[in-house]
Amino acid sequence: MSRRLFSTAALFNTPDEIMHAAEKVSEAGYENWDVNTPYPLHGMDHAMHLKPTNLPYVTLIMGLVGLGFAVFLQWWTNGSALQLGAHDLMLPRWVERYPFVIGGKPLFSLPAFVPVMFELTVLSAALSTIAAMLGIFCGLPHNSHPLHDTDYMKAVSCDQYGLYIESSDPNFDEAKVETLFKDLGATEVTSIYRPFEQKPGFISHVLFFGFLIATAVGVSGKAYFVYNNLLYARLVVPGYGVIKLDHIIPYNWMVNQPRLDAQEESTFFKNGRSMQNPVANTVARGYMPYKYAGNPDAANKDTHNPVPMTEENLALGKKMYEITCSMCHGDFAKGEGRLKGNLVPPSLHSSKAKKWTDARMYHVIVEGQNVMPSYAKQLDEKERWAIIHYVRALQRAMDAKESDLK
Amino acid sequence: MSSKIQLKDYSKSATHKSAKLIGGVLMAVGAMCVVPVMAESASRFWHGYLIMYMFLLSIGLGALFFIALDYLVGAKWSVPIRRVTEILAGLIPVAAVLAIPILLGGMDHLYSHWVHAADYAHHEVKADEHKTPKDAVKDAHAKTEHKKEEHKEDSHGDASEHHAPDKIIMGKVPYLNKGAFVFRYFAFFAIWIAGWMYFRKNSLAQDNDPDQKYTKANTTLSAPFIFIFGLTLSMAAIDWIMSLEPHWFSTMFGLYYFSGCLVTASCCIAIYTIRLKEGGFLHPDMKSDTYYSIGLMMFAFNVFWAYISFSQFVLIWYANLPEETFWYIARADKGWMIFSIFLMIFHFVIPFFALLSRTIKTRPSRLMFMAKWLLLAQIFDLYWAIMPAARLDVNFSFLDLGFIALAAGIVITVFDRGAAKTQLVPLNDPRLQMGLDFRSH
Repeated sequence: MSRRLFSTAALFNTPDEIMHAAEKVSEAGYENWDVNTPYPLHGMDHAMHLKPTNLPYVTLIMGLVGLGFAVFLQWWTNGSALQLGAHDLMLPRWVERYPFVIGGKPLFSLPAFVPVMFELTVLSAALSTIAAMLGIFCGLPHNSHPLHDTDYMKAVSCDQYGLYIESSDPNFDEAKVETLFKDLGATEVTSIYRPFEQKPGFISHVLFFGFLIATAVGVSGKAYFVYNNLLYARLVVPGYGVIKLDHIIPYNWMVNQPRLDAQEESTFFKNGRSMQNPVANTVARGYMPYKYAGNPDAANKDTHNPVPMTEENLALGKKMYEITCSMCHGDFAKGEGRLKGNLVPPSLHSSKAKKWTDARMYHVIVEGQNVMPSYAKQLDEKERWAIIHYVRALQRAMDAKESDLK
Repeated sequence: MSSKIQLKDYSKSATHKSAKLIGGVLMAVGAMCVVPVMAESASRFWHGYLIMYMFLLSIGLGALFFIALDYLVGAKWSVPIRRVTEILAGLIPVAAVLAIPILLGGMDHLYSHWVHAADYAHHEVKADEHKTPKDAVKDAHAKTEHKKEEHKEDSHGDASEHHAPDKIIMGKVPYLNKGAFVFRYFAFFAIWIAGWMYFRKNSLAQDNDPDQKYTKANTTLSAPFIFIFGLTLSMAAIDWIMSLEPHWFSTMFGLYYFSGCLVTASCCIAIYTIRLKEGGFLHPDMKSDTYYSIGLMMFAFNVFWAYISFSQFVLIWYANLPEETFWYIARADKGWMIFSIFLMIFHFVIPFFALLSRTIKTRPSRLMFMAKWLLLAQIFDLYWAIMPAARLDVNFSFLDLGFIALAAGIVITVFDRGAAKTQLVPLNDPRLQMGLDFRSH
């Protein structure tokens, strides 16, 4: 038989027997051995005389690392005591700092940081504990194990308790181990052999896997940076100028798209333009063209205000006036706006403004006047008329009549 | 089988005699230290007395909670030490007696903000009606400052003069008045003592009659009891501590006191389990796994305390509303800041790292040290929560330690008397053997 012996294994029927067996095997001085049970047995660590694991130290250290990282991260991103940004330290833009004052708290305010510190401590400790447990302490990943696919494994993952001593143990002697197991009351003693003698090929070698992964990461990473550089690449030809290369590289992050930009040339329409006028005698949905466009005098002859003067509309007008108009014209329309500077808008209490019809004022809102731009985009039709009602109310308020005193 | 075990008789042991002596001496020393405090400032005395009372109550309530919880979840590990917990819960009736002096004489000093508010219910209020709650808070602060000056003039700190309460306090009068307060005192203690006696009666009856029905009866009671317990404990914490500064409110305050209860109770359980086990009064088969479990409880509930008290702080700190922040400002001003920082380190940072290690949790001497540490930290936490409410000129006086000595003396005496009367292992409990076989790893 050319197969090499891996271990000698014994099966027991009860937890007490396996506990007792573990104690005896441990006392006999064996080192490379283990116990397999269908569920965790409390007290087994003690019976096997296992030393406490070092895993908690990994948890502690990585927890502290997470804590430190959380403090550093928040101190760095929340701006600085040093008044230094990424630029000052010659660091790339993606590590920029953001010194925003939030809720009136200091930039470095520990109480606000504590939840993040707590979370990152737990996260780092938990993840690294699991990673260290699987990767270092359990020796995973493991392609195969001689115990797999044996009757022994079927028994211990079902209803029996097993113990095996590896042949690599310095005290291992097949005959002795078998007698020991028999004396301990094992129901069955088996020899477990390695499944095949073939040495693992280079494909399953860790270094080869590492090489593959490193190559994949390296190639894709390099490609990413190369493409990114190409995307913004410019070819400088002396005496000619700069040639953009973005249309010749194969993969350009959607910088070049089939849609048409404004003012662009088009081969689709006859006139070769990407921008087209609306079809004659049509109006776009929801856009009624302004009837006095470019004709203020005509507007001044129209005395009609389509929005009725109700309390609700007046409130709407007040609201929209204060949002849209008051920063220049002022809360009382005297031209006392909050934008202090060169801009001094005229008072709306002038006799000229008072004499204007509502439609004339509407004209100014829609088309703008002098420095004032059009506000047609900010205000819909109803709001414009409502604002005019409110302005009339303001004018009236500043110009009390004698009869009002009564 | 297990009933054949011969236990040492506590009532005839040297431990009993020495505990009697130590308890008596501590109480005498404490009382001697406390009397001069009364002479110095009545307000200081009553706040110190309240700290001691709340501390003793917290041990009793925490122990009662552990009894109910262990029945509810069917805990096995704690069965060999259940009598320790039961005896510690005997502090609740003692606390009920200790509360009577507060009800009779201390309320004017402790709860002067609201205790006479009900007398103003019909007049005075109208005049304040135009005020917004914000103004009322400002007034309240002004009054507090004023009260402090009063203390300077009157060194006995007699809060004999009562200010007209502001609108906020008037709004709380339906809950915060003397009658309701006393009623709740009677109701809460009746509930707790009744629950404790029921659990204890069934548990002791099982010693003579090995029937499972007693365990079942206790398990049945524990489910509704734990619910009522949570409710009453929260309200008691609001009544006795939060109402010291009735303008302040925190919805987690009950939980904050509850977390402290669990810390103190698990520490006392640790101390007495170790003491009785080392003296040979507990089951000889009990292993260090039980210490480990108690150590876990101490660790877990200490972290819980830190979590709750920090959450309470950070929510108020973040929102930054003057109605809430003044409670913490009072604990950051006038020399209290050093107390607050010390509390964090003393109560959380050092015990956290110390209790992380398994060795500390399984070695009796070290666990005992940490338990005493945390008990001191917890009484300091109560000091930090209660004493600033007195708005005294001196934050700390060494005579305040008299209350700690008094509290320690009371705990030792109560436990000693309880232990002398009780069989210290529930030998007929159906889960005892499982508890002894329990291995934490």
